[in-house]
Amino acid sequence: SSSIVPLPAILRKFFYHFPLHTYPPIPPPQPYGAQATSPTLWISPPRQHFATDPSANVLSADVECLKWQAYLALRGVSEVALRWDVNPAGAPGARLPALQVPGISRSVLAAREIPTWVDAKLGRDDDGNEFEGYLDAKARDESRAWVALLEGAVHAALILHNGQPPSESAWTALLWSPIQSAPSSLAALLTPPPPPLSGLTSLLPPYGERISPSNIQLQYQTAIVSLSDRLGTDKWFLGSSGPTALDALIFAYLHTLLNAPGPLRIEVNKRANLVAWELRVRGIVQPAFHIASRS
Amino acid sequence: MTEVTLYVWPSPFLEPHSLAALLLLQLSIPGHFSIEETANPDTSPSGQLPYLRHGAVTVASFAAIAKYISRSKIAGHVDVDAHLDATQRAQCTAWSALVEAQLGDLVAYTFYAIADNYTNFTVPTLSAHMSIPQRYFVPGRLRELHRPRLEAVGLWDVSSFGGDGEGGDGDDEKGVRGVGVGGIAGGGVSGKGGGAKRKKNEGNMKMAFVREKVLETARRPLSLLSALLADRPFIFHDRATTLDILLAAHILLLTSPTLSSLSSQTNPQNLTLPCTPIHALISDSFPTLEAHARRVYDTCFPHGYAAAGLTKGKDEGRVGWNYDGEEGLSGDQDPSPPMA
Repeated sequence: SSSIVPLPAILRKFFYHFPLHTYPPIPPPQPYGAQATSPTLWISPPRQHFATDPSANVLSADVECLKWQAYLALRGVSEVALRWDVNPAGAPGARLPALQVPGISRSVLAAREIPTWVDAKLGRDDDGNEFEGYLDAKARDESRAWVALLEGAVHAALILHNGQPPSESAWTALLWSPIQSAPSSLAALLTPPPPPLSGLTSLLPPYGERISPSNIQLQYQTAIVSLSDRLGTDKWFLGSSGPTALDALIFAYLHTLLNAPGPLRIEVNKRANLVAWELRVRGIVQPAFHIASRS
Repeated sequence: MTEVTLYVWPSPFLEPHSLAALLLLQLSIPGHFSIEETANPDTSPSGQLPYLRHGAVTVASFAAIAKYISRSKIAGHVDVDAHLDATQRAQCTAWSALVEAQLGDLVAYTFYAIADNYTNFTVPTLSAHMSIPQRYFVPGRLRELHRPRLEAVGLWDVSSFGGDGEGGDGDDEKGVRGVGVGGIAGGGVSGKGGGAKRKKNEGNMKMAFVREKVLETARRPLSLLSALLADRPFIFHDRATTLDILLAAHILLLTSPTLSSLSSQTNPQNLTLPCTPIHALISDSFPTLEAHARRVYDTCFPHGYAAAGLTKGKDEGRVGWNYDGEEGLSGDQDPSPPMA
């Protein structure tokens, strides 16, 4: 009717048989946790997430995710929701964990942005402290060495025991390891790098990786003994007055090791101070998290 | 008395654990061991050098060797870590992990990632000790072994910025052609015309960026270790420990890679490392580390390596027992037969 050119009557009569209905707008589905007022941490699933009472275990089975959970809890952040139904490809950098912050923007932060967010939330800047929460510069520097130890020898032992059964025999290893076109994560972790299974000087093309489980086990045992000796009876590692980033990392590894296959768990269980320390810190970390609800 | 024989890479060692094992044994059991230089790590139970034979026992890896020697009852044995308390031993373990990881990356970067060094030093050095045909493919295999880790830590950037666009990822077993982290090797860009000039400017910028990235990566662990050492002669007390030995081995390879004074033979090829950016960094900014390395070496060989009386032992063939670090012996057979 508002058209400049009037519609012919015959067409109007024809269109009468095809009325136009306008339906009300359909609102888009609510984003998961859109109404949440607490931050949501996307993590890898906990070890027993199929248990009858899934809320009982909110600690991720992945060391990296657990490290950041511990960091948040030890920095004093509480009431953090958890999700583990997110594909890592959907997180920033295609890696978990990621932190979805509440608010209008509902932005998702990568792991490296979490400390900055925590500083802003708590209104203080622990990492800006000259010693990063450690006792002094010497302790701060020593923390770097402990990080190297954990992310080296201990992590290698975790990867080894979570993968194929270790074997000292080259022939047995040949049965277990398929032809690997891409280097394994151990190749990028061990120094010096493992030689090929077929031999470095062999005329055969390089095949597989020759990992020495006994060497990895030896370094792992030494690392655990050293951790225990260094902790002693201190409340926090390196004698700090409060929890630090190193404590978060150590908790992540200890908790994972205590839920790992036999040889790894047994070695930690021999050290009563480490077991007691992990139990105490778990009591701080676990209550800070709850499973996000779909509302 | 059964002799201890240490099997290491030929000098210059190119691999810090071989040098560290040599220094450790010289401090722990001086005069009670011999060395055998071999370019065939497949004879080792772990496929890596160094390894040690003591009678029927074979021990592979530096950590296992250190543990075995510390518990051994060889005549004249000195435990280099005996004066450390439990906390210091724990600190020693942690710092050793940092040295092996981060300084080990710098050593591997120096010998394998920098194209000029790999072509003009590493390959000729290794090839001189290998027979045909191993000399044509083993250096390349070693380079590829180090590549995943160096890529993971950002110390591998084999990018082509040659003037004619050639170069690429040189996998030529006879030597990489002027690429790699050539920003520091000084791989020049040649060409004609304005396009070549633009490429040259881009290449120079990339060289400078890569150089700064590498130096920044090197500066971090060196700063930590320099602060740890401070102005003391050794890290703990007044004697060298396993940590001092490990640190010195890495610094020596970064600052004095030819180690002509350590070699029992002259360096017939008169090889030198063409590109030593990390050596320059250590000398300029961390001289205490260089002095510490030299001090440890002088402690081990006060009259020089040749005068130490280390003789090359003979390969006695296969042995039947491997030491796995536990009390007693594992009883596992050495799985790898000796290579011819």
